[in-house]
Amino acid sequence: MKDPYRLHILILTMLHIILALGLSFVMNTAQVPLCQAAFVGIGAYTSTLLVMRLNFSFWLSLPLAGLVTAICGILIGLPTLRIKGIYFAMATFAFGEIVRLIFIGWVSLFGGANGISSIPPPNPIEIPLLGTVKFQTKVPYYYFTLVVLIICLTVIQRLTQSRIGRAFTAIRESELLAQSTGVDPMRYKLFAFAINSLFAGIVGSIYAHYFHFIGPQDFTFWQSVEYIVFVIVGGVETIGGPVLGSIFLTFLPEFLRVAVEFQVVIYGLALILVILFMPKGFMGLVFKIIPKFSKS
Amino acid sequence: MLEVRGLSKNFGGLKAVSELDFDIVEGEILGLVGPNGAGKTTVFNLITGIYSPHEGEIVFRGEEITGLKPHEIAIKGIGRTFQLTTLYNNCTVLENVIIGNHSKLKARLWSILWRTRSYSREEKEAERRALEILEFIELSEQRNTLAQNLPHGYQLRLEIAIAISTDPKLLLLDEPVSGMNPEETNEVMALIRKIRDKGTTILLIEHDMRAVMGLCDRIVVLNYGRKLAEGTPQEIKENKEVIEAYLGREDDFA
Repeated sequence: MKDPYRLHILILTMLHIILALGLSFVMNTAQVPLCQAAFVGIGAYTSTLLVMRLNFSFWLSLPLAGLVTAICGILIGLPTLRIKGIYFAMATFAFGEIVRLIFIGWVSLFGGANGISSIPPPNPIEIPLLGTVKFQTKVPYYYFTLVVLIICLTVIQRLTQSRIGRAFTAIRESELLAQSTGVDPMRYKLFAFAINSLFAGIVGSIYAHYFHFIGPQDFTFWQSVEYIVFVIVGGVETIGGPVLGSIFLTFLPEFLRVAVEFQVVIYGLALILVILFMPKGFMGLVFKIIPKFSKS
Repeated sequence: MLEVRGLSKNFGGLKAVSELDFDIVEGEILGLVGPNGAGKTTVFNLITGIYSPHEGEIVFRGEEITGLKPHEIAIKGIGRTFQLTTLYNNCTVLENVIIGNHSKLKARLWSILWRTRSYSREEKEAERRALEILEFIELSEQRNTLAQNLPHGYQLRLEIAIAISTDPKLLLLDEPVSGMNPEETNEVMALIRKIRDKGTTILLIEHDMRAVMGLCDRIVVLNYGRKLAEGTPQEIKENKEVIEAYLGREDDFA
């Protein structure tokens, strides 16, 4: 647990899981947004600016970053969620690019193409029994991200099991039937979108204060596509899907020690194989295998 | 209970429904019949808000519902089934009906995240109610089957179960016995009567004449989007215009 490289990969994986969880929530309402990285960016820049310009504590800027991103999500969701399929994807793609261009263009605020460096780590925090925790090594980051991940998992799991999750299922399966039983599709799509952008904003905040540097190249369209690949490879319909997909696709390239350029090839291959051979993702495969074991 | 006044809907140059008037009286089973393309399903889609009419108004229990969104009309108490059987295919039968319960559940976000006691109680209550509906509709044994794996007859029943899980005052059924054998048809006819006897008014589209004549208190006949006739099954059977327009001329009706 002391090996910083391994810890780094684990932290990255957990951040990816949170992003994939939020995305799967939106994708469960049959919409595929291509602006996840923009949300992460909004969260990252919001948190950074709050801390560096206004001297906010990280512990306040983290929830605020989530909140600001969620509000952005709602504002962009209101017009775009009315359209479907490829048109929705294109509208969110455009939004993502606009956000990135603003990061590049507004130099005085966002630092332009150079980004913002020397972002301070989270302030030391007093925790009962543990004493003061300082963010000097990767270990506290690891545990902190783990706590956030567990909270996000719990939130998603409880929502999924409730009438809200059932409304999502209904909308995915048949929007027409859902409406005829009193489900307002727009309201639930917007809710899913807000939760997703909230998660992305929180991830962005952690990301900025963990890497101490952010720039527009961290929040590109390809990044957004990568997160979608995590969800599709893992499987959309269950919570396990995005978790498995993120773990697999974050670990695999690292373990294979391949150059960054090949990472994209691996994602592409994984995506094609999954779509061809397991349309429900890894989780679909797991659900197929389990009954076979329990019978024998 | 439901008043339709001067209802018109055009698709391009086609008058799918024109100047249609009819009433549904509380507690009755009203049949809506007519040849293919007469505008029956369009009338359903107008009442349930999927289409908005070009002219006319729809009043449900003294309240104008023209132009409301489908989910708002559902919450006001109008349930429906679809001509092409529409189910949550990848969910079990029980889940299908629990989802239908949606508008009856009140739990707030906070109590869902916190798993409050009132929320757990509500969830249990929803499941109990869904099981009750399955019992009523005689689908209890299939409750853990995926909807897409059900035989056709059961799928049509499940569709009715989903519709009544919203506790509608008025239920619109679009061809509830299509593709069923006589025995299944009888069962569903009995079921529809049972739903009416529990206090739900029913508007029914059906091509199966035996079912229509056997079930309906009154019948409205549509042809080319207009009302051709209205009356009791007996009156409709004897109406010359209806026989010509709908059933064909007498000599080729066997």
